[in-house]
Amino acid sequence: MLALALAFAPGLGRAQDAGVPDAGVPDAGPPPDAGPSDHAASDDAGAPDPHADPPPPPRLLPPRVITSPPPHYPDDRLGDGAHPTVVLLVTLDEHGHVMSATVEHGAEPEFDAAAVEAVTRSWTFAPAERGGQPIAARVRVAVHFELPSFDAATTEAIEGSHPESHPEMNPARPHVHTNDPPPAEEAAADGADHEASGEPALGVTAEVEGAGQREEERGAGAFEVDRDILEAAPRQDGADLLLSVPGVFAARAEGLAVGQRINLRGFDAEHGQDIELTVGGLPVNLPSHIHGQGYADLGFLIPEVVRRVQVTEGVADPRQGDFAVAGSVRFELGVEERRRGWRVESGYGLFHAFRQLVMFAPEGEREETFGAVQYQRTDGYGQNRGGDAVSAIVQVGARDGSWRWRGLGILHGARADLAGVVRADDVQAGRVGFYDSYPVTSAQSQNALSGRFLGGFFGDWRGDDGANASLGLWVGADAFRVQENFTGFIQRSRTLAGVAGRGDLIEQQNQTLSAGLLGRYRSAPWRPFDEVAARVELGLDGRFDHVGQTQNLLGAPRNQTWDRRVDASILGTQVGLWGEVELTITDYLRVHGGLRAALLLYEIDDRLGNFVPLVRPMDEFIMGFRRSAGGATVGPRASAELRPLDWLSIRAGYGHGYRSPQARTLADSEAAPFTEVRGADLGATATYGRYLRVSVAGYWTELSDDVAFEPREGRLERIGASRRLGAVLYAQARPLDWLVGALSVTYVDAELLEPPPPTADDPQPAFTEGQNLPYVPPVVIRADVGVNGPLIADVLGETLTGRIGIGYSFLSPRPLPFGGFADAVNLLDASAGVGWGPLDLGVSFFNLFDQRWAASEFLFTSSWDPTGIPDRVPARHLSAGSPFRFMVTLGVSP
Amino acid sequence: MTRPLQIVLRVVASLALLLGGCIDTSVEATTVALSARGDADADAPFDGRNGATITLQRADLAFGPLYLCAGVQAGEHCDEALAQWTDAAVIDALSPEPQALGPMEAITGTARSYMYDLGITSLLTRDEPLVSEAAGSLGDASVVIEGTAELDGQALPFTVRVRVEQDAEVEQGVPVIRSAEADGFEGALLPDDASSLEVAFDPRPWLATADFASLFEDRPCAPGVPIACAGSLEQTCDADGALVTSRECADLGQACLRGVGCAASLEVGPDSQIARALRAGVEAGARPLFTLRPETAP
Repeated sequence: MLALALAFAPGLGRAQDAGVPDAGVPDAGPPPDAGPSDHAASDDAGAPDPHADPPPPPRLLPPRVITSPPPHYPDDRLGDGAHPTVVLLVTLDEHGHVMSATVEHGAEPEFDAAAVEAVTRSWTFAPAERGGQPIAARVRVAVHFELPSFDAATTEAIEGSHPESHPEMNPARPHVHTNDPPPAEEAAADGADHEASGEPALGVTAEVEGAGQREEERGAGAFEVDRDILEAAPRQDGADLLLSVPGVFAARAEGLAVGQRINLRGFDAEHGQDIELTVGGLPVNLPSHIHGQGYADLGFLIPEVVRRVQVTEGVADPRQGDFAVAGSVRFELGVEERRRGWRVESGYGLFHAFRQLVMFAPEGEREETFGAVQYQRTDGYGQNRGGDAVSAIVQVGARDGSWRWRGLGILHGARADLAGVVRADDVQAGRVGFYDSYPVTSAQSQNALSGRFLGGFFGDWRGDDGANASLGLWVGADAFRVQENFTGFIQRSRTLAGVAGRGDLIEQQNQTLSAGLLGRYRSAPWRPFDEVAARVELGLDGRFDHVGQTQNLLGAPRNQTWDRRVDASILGTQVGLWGEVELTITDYLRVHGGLRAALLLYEIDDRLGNFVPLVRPMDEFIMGFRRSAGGATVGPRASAELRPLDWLSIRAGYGHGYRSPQARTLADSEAAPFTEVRGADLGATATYGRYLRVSVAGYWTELSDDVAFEPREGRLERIGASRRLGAVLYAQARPLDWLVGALSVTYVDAELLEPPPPTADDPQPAFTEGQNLPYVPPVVIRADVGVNGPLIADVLGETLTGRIGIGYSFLSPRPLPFGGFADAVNLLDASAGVGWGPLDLGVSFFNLFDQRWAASEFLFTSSWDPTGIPDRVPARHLSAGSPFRFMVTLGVSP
Repeated sequence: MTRPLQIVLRVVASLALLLGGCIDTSVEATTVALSARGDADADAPFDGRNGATITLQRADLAFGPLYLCAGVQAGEHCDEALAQWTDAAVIDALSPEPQALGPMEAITGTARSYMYDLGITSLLTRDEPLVSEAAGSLGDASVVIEGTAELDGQALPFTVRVRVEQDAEVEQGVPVIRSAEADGFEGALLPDDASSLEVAFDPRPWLATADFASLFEDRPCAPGVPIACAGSLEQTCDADGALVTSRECADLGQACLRGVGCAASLEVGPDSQIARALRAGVEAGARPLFTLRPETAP
């Protein structure tokens, strides 16, 4: 990759008599703290009255970099592996045009020439100002060279105040941001950076984000969805951002306090057990969670602070760890320059939905520095669906020499009533409304509560020789409680003899305390031959979790416990080690090969262990089953990228990933059986400048042990090995400055290979060999279109801007257990808004055509009439998705 | 939604289904046409226990709900059934004409057992069983049998009603009558509503152990017997066993019943041997004939 850095470099503005050229550089005015030589220069200008009060110093603003495209890495130096920095003195006229650029501290001549050429031909500046008037000036800039990556060809720097004019076509490029320069007074006070002449200093600050430190793309399933696409369509919450990721569909079926159900590329990831989710580097998945292994609730995400979403679909990167079965999704947090400052936004809509956002991103600070608080409440779109949620995210970034530091804290809490599921036949017969909850106390008592804290501290180091490293420490605490009734009145107590039918209100509690670390080191390139460069990367990550969990049956409304199913504590330690070699062979081929190993250790205190329900007398031992188990896995990861043409990239990937087991299912001394996944993909990406990027990929995945939702226990159970074959098309288009669009189409054939055999207890299992995996839509389509631009140039001194956004999601009918299909889902969301100065007024419409759709759909046995003949044949159940609704939003950005 | 958009969405949905044309879910929802009938010969006289001859004039039962299960053992192993009929209806077990009961809700698969109630269903959710309308029409009974028992020239019309219900202490919430593995019931539930199930009841075996002969006697007066039957001759006796009066029941068109004397008919008590025998015969005796076969076109 060819990266670019602009180091802090005060420039020079020589004081002169007004209008009198001196070496071609007009006067930039005296600095407020000009030293003796400055006075001497002033003396040259005339004869001031020594008794007169000195005039107030005019305010001096330094020039600012507007655009800074990276320099061309000299072709004949590619074999050197060098990444030098060239310091230039750049002279600007009062329009900010580059008049000249001379090398102050050079490197090899080729680099010097490339730096001068880049700055003189393609960099643009805003002129320095004195007293509000533009003036000519001279500035020192540092141009840093990094080895080019395949994707560097279209790299373009972005200046914070005009990012919308530079849509980011290439997810791999470095993102260059210029912070607002410090006032000239401050810059001038920094004497260490001034020339001995004492000439006034004009500062310009620019820096490179850490994206250049490690290429994240591996295999054909690597995508990046940037801010302009994320904000094109309206979003109900942060997790909705996932909708724009190719192959993903996410829906919140269980209210504000329970995690979204996520589908990705043929995986029904439920609440996230098949997707490794990270937010700002913090892991979201919770191991051995009672509600589902790898449970992940993205309810804390505030959409406005998500800078971009990076996705690796499949497993090809050694850095991908636990739960990276379908892939990994990384949310990168930040607030770009154009949106910095204060933002207060209030929204109110149908069903008394209310949302309040307060966001502060101090201007002049790094992009990742911000704080945001969000409060949401709603009465819900049907019975028993009201809820409240609050989230706070604070992130602070800083740079110190070769190190860049970042601290991140996330706090979230939510409570919501749940409507639960309704049977499709009851809806059809009019016995219950589509958006209703069953009129029995056990159903009306469904609710959930969640609370979470995540905090982390991360550092990125960048060496002069191209080596780089990262480290991080994080802690987390999670509390979760849900009471849900999926099956009505069919359960019997296993603890109390003769007690049954009190309503299958399952109570699940889970508390997790976690701490973890991560670190990696990437070597400087080693060039054994011309045209060949090699890097080695080593990394580790680990976490320790203390999990407490219970599951009971409650009798509503007094929540009397009438059966106990789970009462356990788990101590889990997980360590992952990985290494990777990167080979770059000519300009055309790059290969990654590596290994990842993981070690799991568990101690389980199963306090209900050794309890044989209603059969074994309890007078021979004390109930409980404490045990320990461990396991290890090692798997290869490899990827290759061939770039035969500038605009064409062909990628392939193979990987062996894993998912940790639910610890409570382990026996004593059992070799913890990882769920192992093997996958490969092959695809191509074509790029047409900044206008169009199209990717096509095919993929294959085999999973050793899939899971599916078990309604009787309200959690996931194993259903055997599975295989997926599919293809994905993804296109991003930015044909005009004010128009952005994205389209993804994903097809998958997901097949169950080895379902559990029939048993006496389950003579006809829900799953049979060769059947298509339940709940997985074979086709997922997503389209995002955003229009954003000025409408009227001058309305009372401000520009009136307008925006329109559309998001469309389609899911083909999903197969269900025991046969049957869920209905297809068509959802169209749209938004429109106008902006004028600091004000922004918008309206968002969700499910514009008011389609009745099921956010989740199951097929199982239930019986909801406590006075009637019980049903025993599996029936379709659904939890209603949101109907049409809208929200009007008023935002103020003072 | 505008029509053009609807068309677009349909095209997209159709394309999706086409792409997913190889979807195999293995199991499909279906229905099974359910009917019940009696036995053509059930109204013919048949031999009862101890020489009695029984002729049935009425054999009504409240049938349902009915479940078909995948395993060879029904009951608690059949919490998840392949097919269900959650209604109940009165079946005339003397009529050989099939009585359509409606469709059973089902999923495809192989049924290997069944379980059903006779109009009175034990629920998990309450202590008292649920009495269906069908059973209510039979006087809150599961089975009503009316017939004539003949022995030694005497003919006694009788009526017996029994409740067949689950013992809540034992298996609350589970249907009371279940097939056994030895019954060998097995049949395919075909997709596309292509299966039918006929249940054929023969009430005669239910009375196989009912001792109608014990109602009759042929003995003279004896001490401590206030009424005795010498065949069809009713005798009233004093405390010493001496004959006081007598009359010929046959002349009245009646039968002489032990301890009762002349009686035109008998309403069998629920705790009598006959009622208990009938209940046992229904619960544990010969099973009705379950015939699961491909649906034939009407």
